[in-house]
Amino acid sequence: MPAGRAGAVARARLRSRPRGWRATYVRDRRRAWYRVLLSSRVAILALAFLIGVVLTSVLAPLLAPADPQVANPAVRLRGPSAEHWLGTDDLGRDVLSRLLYGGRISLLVGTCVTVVAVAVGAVLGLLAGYFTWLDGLLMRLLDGVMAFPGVLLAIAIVVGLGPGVDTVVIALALVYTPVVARLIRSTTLVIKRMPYVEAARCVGLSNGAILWRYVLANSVSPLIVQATFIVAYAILAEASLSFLGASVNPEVPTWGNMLRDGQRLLSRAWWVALVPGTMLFLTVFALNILGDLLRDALDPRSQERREDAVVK
Amino acid sequence: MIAYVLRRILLLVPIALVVGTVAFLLLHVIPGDPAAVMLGPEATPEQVAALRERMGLDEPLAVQYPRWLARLARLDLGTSIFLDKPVTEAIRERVGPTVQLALYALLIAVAVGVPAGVVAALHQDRLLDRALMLFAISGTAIADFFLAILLILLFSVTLRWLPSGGYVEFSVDPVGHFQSMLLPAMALGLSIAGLPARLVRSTLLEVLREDYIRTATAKGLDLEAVAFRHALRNALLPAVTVLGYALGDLLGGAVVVETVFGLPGMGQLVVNSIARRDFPVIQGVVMVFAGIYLLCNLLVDVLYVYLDPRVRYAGG
Repeated sequence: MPAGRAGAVARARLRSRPRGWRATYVRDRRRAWYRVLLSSRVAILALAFLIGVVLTSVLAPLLAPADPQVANPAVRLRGPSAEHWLGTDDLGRDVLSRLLYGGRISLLVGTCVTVVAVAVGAVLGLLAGYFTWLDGLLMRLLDGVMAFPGVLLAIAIVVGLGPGVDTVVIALALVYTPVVARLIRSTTLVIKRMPYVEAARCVGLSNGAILWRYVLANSVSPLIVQATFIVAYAILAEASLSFLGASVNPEVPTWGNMLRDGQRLLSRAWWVALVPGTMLFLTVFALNILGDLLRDALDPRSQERREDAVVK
Repeated sequence: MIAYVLRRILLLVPIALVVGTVAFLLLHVIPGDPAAVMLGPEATPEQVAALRERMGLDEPLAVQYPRWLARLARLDLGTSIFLDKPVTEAIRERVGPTVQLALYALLIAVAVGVPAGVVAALHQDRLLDRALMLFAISGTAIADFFLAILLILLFSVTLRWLPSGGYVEFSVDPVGHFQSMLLPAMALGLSIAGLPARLVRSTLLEVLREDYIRTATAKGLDLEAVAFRHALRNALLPAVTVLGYALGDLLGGAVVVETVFGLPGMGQLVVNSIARRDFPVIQGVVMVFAGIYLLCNLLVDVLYVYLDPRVRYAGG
């Protein structure tokens, strides 16, 4: 997938009607969503894999057999062996160690981008959907940001602000905030016409309380699903930025800049590119599967007719 | 219809204004003196002052901003710092391979994705469906540049069938042109083909439940004829819109994939400009792509209404 927004947007759209608002009262009669999720073997596998990636990345300083940045000319371009499980690159750096440390950047960027995009996007979406006078202005602003190809906008920001995890997070959060805002706007437009919102207003609840307790609370399911996809595509986007040299400091190993080195060495040492690329693929793949299964588990209707539940 | 098109064009104006403003802000969020940042630590104070003067950075923002918008309205994107020529010229020299790549990739994505979606829907929940959808999800999970690297490893390094890089002009050698573009277009096209495949499948399944489909089958038409003659036509529309949205990603992806194959397109321009911090060029490329995206989406929307008269546009 080219990095950007289309993936995240399309995945949430596979079912076009806003989801979630019916979930509150239907769910009680059904199994809890996490039971539905965990009844799928594929979901358990994906979750286990992701937990593994998180653990190995967090514990990288303990697990890595070598310093990821120290060159060792004596062992240049060695294939996988007992000593270097995943081989070494052209500077003799241990690929496994770089892989573990690279995961830290991917996961850190993926999570931070998602947290920021969800927080900011949800607020903007609620405001645009609830207050009609704000809608036009906010949506035109978001449309303007959406017009920029995600990766290129992020590149421009990173080049402007300088390399670093913080600037990459700012850049990619800006890219994905409109995706969240549009989603929440559309659920808000549906929910604000619900009888229970009218009832809440009659009882005298303030707009803020209605937005928080009813509108946002009933948008949580689609929001969680969307967030899962944003983690996946933000990780992919960071890798693209690293690959082009517009991410964190190039000395820091990331899956993207490992792939860049690997491409150069393709005819001599295939593992240098294949190892981080495969890891990137598996991580994004697991997040995608998890997002799909979460959507099915959180949406009671799709338990009845699961026409795009692909893996079960 | 004409009123609709006119209204859509009018709606583009505020969005274009936002695009121009964001691009303007991009330069001004640079911490410190943008001129000094762009020229790097080796530049003399005189050089920095000269650049600041040339770009009008000394003026207050209230003067710079309207001037920037006025220049944009004349399609003037400024001057590259290192190439020493107008950004529009630098982009015009490089835009060919990138747009070609994006178009070929789009063709491949549609040619692979739509039939795959139809076949999967007709074999719902059977092995073929699962296998196809597994491929579709894999496609949306694999990084386009990693797929490019895998294709090079297979077709160039191992099998030696296709070149791993380089670009041949179509007018010079049509066969060589397609040979040089095949791998990049496959990498980009296949990596995005999962989107139309999944959408066509899920909308087709929905359409197949409609009354008019039941009527058609009741008449005695077999399912496949119904699917292709009646249902697909209605299922294609959502796929078309999503591809319109994906266009921005496709152009961004073309930039990335291009650099893998060393095509002399916008990607190379961008990568060189990243290293040199040639900000006007990056700013210009970003805006050109935003412009292409807006125009294509306008086209998609108009096409949508033209193809499906049920869609009547109502505000927002």
